[in-house]
Amino acid sequence: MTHPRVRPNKLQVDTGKPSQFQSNEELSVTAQIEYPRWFRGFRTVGNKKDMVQAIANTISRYQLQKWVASLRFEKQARGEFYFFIGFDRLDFGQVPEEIEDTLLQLPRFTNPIGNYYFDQLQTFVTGDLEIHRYGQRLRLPSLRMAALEDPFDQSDDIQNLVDDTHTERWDKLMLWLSALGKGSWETFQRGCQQLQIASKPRQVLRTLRLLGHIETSSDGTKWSINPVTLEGNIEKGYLLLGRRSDKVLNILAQHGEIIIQSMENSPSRVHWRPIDPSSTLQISNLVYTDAINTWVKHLPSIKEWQGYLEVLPDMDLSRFEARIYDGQNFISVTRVEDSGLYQFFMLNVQTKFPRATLYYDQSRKSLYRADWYGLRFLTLYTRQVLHPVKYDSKKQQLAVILDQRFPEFYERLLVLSSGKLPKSQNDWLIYSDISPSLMEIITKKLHLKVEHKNHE
Amino acid sequence: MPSYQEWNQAIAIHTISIASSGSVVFLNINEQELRRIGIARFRRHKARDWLEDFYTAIRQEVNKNNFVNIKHLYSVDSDSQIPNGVAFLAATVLAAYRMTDENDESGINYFKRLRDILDLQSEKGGRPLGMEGGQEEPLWLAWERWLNQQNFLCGARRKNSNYISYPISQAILRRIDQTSLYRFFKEKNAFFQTTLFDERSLLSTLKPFKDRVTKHLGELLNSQLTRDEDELGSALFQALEDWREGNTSGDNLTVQRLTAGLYRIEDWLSGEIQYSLHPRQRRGVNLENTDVLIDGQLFTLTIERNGWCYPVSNVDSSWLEEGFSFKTQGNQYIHAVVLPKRECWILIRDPEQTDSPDRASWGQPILGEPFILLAQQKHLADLERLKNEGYIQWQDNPREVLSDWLELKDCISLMQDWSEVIVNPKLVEALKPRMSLGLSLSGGLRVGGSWISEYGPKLTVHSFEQELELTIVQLNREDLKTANRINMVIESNKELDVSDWKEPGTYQIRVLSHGQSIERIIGIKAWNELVLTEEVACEALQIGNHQIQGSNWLEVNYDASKSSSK
Repeated sequence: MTHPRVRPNKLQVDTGKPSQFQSNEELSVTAQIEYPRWFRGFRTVGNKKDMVQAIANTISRYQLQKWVASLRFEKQARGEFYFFIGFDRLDFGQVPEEIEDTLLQLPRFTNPIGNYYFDQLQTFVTGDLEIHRYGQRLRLPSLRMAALEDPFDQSDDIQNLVDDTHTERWDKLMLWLSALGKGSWETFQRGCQQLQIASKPRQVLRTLRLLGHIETSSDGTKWSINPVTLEGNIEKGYLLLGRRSDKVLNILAQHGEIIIQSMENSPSRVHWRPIDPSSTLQISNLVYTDAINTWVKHLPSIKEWQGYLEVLPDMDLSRFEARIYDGQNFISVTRVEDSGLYQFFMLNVQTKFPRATLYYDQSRKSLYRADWYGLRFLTLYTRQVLHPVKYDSKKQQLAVILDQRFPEFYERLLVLSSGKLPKSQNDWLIYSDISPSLMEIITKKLHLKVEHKNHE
Repeated sequence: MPSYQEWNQAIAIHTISIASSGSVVFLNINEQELRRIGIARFRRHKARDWLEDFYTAIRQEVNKNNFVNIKHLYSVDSDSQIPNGVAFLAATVLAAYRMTDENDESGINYFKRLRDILDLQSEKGGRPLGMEGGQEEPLWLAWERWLNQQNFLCGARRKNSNYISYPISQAILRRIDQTSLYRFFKEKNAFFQTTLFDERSLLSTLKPFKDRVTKHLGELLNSQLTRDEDELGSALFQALEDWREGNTSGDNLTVQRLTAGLYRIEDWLSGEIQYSLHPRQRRGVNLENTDVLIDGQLFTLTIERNGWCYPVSNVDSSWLEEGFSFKTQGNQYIHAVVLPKRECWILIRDPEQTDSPDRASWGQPILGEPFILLAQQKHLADLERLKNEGYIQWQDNPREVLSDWLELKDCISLMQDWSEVIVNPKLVEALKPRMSLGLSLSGGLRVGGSWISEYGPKLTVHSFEQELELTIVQLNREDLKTANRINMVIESNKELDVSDWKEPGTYQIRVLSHGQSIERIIGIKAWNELVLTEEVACEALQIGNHQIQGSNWLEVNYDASKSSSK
């Protein structure tokens, strides 16, 4: 090895750029700011399902996942239609050879119509299909926006297609979080990135909260994993929530029947039925719960829930640009006056992402912090525009309109009932294993009307 | 009476009890430490003279008719994997601590003390029978191996072929060093009685007086070896505490003061910055039932990790000016928590959760690592001069966060040589880089001081040189033979992916440049080696008078004895 003869006496640090000690996440945020997702549109005809399959196969074969992030279709497209491919980490309109020579050579890509940012398209296109992630296991539900159709009609056709390697990554995330115990939001983000779980770590965090594995601080900056919890009862068996490790799974296997089920976009669902219900498991801080019975006794109404929300202390609103939710989009406003859901953007900071999304209650002149869906639900409730939910008593399924998702606290109860996330279909979210009594209490507390499925 | 094995285990655990992952561990044993170990670890035994108990246990184990029988201690304990020779090594360090001769090359002075401790009846001096030709060395190597497996570096080093340099290197402050220090403290009685120090500020204060103490201590104060600094600072602080409490004979256990640093959090929404007290744990001092009284309110001290408690109470700027001493209650071995007087505070990222936005005075920044500088307003002119002359840099404008205290963000020390600087010397002492090499590990999936297989860290070496020599060695569990060796020339100041970190084990990372080196030990764990943390879940969803954790609905002020846990 040769060393340079000159011995520089000053450390070389580039003042204008993020230092190497900034976390990857900080760098990726910078990257998002520099390269916001953009879309290239194409006009085509034919079978969408085959087309999606071909795109997904190409992305997978040529490993284009790092750039190709999304696929969107023209709303209610029939016959000839438009579709839009979303790109990340690329300058607007600039596509590398790796994409030009592969994906863009597919027959569907012969009629480009232009490049767009999302805000130019958002009223025109369907929801986001994260094609890079689902590429290997595509079995698409209908892409047609069949709003408010009967949600149960095709539910039997939906197959829970699970990519085992993907589930394995979620399970690794759970093992890692269990070993850490607690941490910051930044640590959690880093873990999701390292395990390549999802492009949106906040969604991962929300999923783990819904499934009862994790809790976060009210400002979202800290998380801690819950104690090992067996949720359920002797009759139906128990779901394993919270911390898990190989040792915990082995102990459960030694003392009963354990079923580990791979799930879509979540960790494996672990169901356990003890051989001898009176035996004591050697697991520290083990907790048994029967959430359905306990929660139902305490479940607050939506108004009570609002009363429990964290009220933010005086916030200097002059530092932010405010945008109010009009039911579909966020519209810029000069003053925060009307009750409703607001996004707050830091002034003089170039970003597409709000610093906070909060609910403003005009009567109390207060800003509330809670989960995003919860605050949106509160807004829709206040404006009395909530649609009825639908219930199929035979299948014990509850369907909620996707855009009127319940506050996370209520949704968690629905998810804990089965240990499964809802399935998304035709703009509905469908929750399984929902007993009539649970459906009644939850809809009553949320002041929701129920339309029952007629089986005759 | 505790057996040799119990002492062995207790000393090993005590020695690493407050060490942070990756740090250098010293087997720094003296009479007070042994008493502390006895009280803290053998509570089931009746109070007694722990020093005499230790002698008895050691003598019974190794003194076989005036022959030192140590070969059976080359093994490790089958349950704990702790090497069986630790207690014997502690006895050798105790002998080094008691040495009175500064230049004991032949070891006469040292072996005389060791013979006394082991109760060897022999008229001959020098090495005892059974320890000829350095037969104790395998015990030191086993100790190093065990420390490495726990992700610590071993402070014990042999100089040339002199085996007694092992224990001498561990007795950071010997009795004669302490005596010279007590004399010096007494000369400046009022200053040392009243000034509120912590370990680091005391070390900085004593450095200019290296000629006023023993040669050995003077050399330590003059040393550029940062690896010894924490241990030295801690030993000096203990000596000051002993002197202040009139316990210079070491016969009793000094009632301690704990020191505290600062912990900084920033509200991401409002931008509000909050500083809290961040108490340090002292080795061998049990913190059970310790409440600290701050502004009329009691805060219970709880250990957050090795060496540190959870932050308590917001900091008032008036405490920073001259430092502040807070009384404690409930623990007979602790009487106060001290926030020291400092000209400025350096706040670095959490070494165990490098992604966390929180910053605290965990230690000195490594070369090239950005830090937050909290400095008194009066130093701004000096700091700006340092910035203009290229010694340091920072981002954004200084911001007043506490009355008369400014915060400078993303500070980095840039220059190697600060000898020409004419500003407040305390600022220079705080800001100048300790070493000309800095090794930082980033990314991967980290659990404590280890990473997970295939998700190991990336390396950045900060240096004033452009090219450096990197060696990564996987340390074998059975012996120090090596496997998976990486040896390469790397570029400085650049994040590098140098290994796939596939094979679980303990790795030694070493960077060499122009005679200087820096070392880190890291562990790589297999997925099935991960165990549940003992950490109690702390976050909960608050719904009225209830808290929800997962599916568990808890009353607020929840009584654990009434829990649904089986």
